[in-house]
Amino acid sequence: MTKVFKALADPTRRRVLELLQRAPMSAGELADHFDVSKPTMSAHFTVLVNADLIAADKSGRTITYRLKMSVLEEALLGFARTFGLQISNNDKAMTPARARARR
Amino acid sequence: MTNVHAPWRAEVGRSLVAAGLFCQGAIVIKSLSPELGTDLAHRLFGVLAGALVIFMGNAIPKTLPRKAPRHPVAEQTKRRFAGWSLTLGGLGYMLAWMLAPIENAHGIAACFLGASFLVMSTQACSRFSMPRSGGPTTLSQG
Repeated sequence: MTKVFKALADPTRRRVLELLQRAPMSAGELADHFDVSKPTMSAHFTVLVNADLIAADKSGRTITYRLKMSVLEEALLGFARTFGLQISNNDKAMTPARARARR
Repeated sequence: MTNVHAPWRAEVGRSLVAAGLFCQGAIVIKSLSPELGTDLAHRLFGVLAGALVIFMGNAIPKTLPRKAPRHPVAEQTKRRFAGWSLTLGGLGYMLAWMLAPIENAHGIAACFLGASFLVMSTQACSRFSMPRSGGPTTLSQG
């Protein structure tokens, strides 16, 4: 459950989940919605896959992401969207700033 | 070499544990019913049944088909809708058994659950929600 909270704490990852609520999308399509680099997006996808909130289907060079959220997790997403979720300072979740610093 | 059956086995294991817990809960309530009284025992059975429906409804959108569906958008929409309607129906069922007067609780709870099943079945059977051309939109990652 900690992984889920960490995944939902980041606004970019929340936006990814909102986009996937509409339809499954490829990594490229999702990345087009954000003004961040592909490695950063890839880090966000990894966090979401590790939290078991999305599933990745690979066919050829294309990775298609599908939503894999239970009703409770979707309710948590709605709660996080409305009220926001704070992450603690010692949170090890990959944030865009951290990903940029790593590069 | 990775064991491809591991996730499937874990899923079945979790389901069996959950089923065992629900059965055990029912047995405990039944065995305690002389002390609890008939009304309270009925209420607890109702709450347990509602919890079971919530448990199942909650898991529906998370359980993905093994093969990629022909119409992924419609399939995802139906799964989410079924999950939400069953969870809310189960919640209503549970709350009705908890809060409604005992003489009306059964009827009110059945209305909640029946409505959720009806809505879910109607949506699942709806041919109009299935798009003519499906398939995930694919763009190369690179």
